Amino acid sequence: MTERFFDPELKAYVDNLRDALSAGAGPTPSGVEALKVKLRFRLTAFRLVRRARWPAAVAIVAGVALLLLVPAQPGFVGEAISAHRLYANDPVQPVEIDAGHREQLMTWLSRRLGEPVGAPALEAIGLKLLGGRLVSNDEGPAAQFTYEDGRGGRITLFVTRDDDSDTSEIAVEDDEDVAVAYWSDGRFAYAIVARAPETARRAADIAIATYRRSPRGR
Amino acid sequence: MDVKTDKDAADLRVNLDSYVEQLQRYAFALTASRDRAQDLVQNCLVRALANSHRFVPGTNLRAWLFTLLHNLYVSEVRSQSRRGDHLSVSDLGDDAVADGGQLVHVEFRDMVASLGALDPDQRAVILLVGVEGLSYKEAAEVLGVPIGTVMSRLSRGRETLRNLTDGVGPRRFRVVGGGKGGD
Repeated sequence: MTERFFDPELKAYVDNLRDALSAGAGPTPSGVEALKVKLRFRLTAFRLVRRARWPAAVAIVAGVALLLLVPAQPGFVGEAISAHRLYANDPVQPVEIDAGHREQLMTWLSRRLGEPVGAPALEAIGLKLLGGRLVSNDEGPAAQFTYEDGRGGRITLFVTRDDDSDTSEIAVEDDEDVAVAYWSDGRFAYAIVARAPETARRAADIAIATYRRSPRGR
Repeated sequence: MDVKTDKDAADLRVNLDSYVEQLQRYAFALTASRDRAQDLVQNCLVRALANSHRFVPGTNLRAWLFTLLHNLYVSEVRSQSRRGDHLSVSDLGDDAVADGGQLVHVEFRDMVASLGALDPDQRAVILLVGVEGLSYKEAAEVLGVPIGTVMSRLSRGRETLRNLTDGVGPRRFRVVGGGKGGD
């Protein structure tokens, strides 16, 4: 490939540069490896249903199979996105109780949700807790915590009871102008809504680690 | 089963591994840090997953992934320069090179640091076209510029590199341990 663009001396340089960069970049870390496997699966699945040359019946069967393979987004995720859109960017009152009254906030929300709930510290990724509010979800009450970055951008952490008591792996999806990362740990179902998928993902990684250490999220 | 979809399937099965390797190498060349490169690739794949429904089968998967990664890098650099916290390949410090493990050689460091001689636009084109073997068209798509711009950046980058190798002689760039290419 490179022969076309470079004389022999530059080609030797570019070849050596490639080796040096490969050595510098190192092996693929396991986190990247896992994402790669997911991406391959996801793209293969989409490729199957999009094959226009398939007869309609086969496409429908493939579509149904895909629905079974790729679980549908649970209902609380949509509620989390709605709550984020409705409250997080409210200029006057984004939260009902601010982070200055943290104990009061956590006691109130824990009582309403029926189990201890807390808001993990996300300062490590530049997000500061503004406070929280009680919101409603199909399944009952839910807690909404709002965080702010240094530039006025806000993210939502939505926590609600998960009576199916299933644990589920973290999933990240786009929804118009926001991204949502969601998962369940058997006790609660969680969703983090942010502008960028990688912010949602990073915040979710920290939250999962924190809740694993302590249900109160401290 | 037509040829095109067979090719798509093979592309996913075989090539995604090498694409990820290429993304990692490109990210390392841009950031000069193994950790930051790994973060960048991870974020790129998270974004690819979140947007996988937007990828049109049969179109160029490699160019799509490189575009996602390049845009993430550009917005990262932009937010850093807002914070006044600059980084460049020419600042390549011991941290980045120490990660290289057994390959910590002066030559290795020179090799990666030589990228600092190129301005960022030329560097991206030399890396994409020269190192990673993307076509002009793919590079143009990744960088969001016309093909003519890719060609002129490439020729200016080539000129810069030629002056660099002339000055010190080609030997300097030959001595890299553990390489598969080279002599």
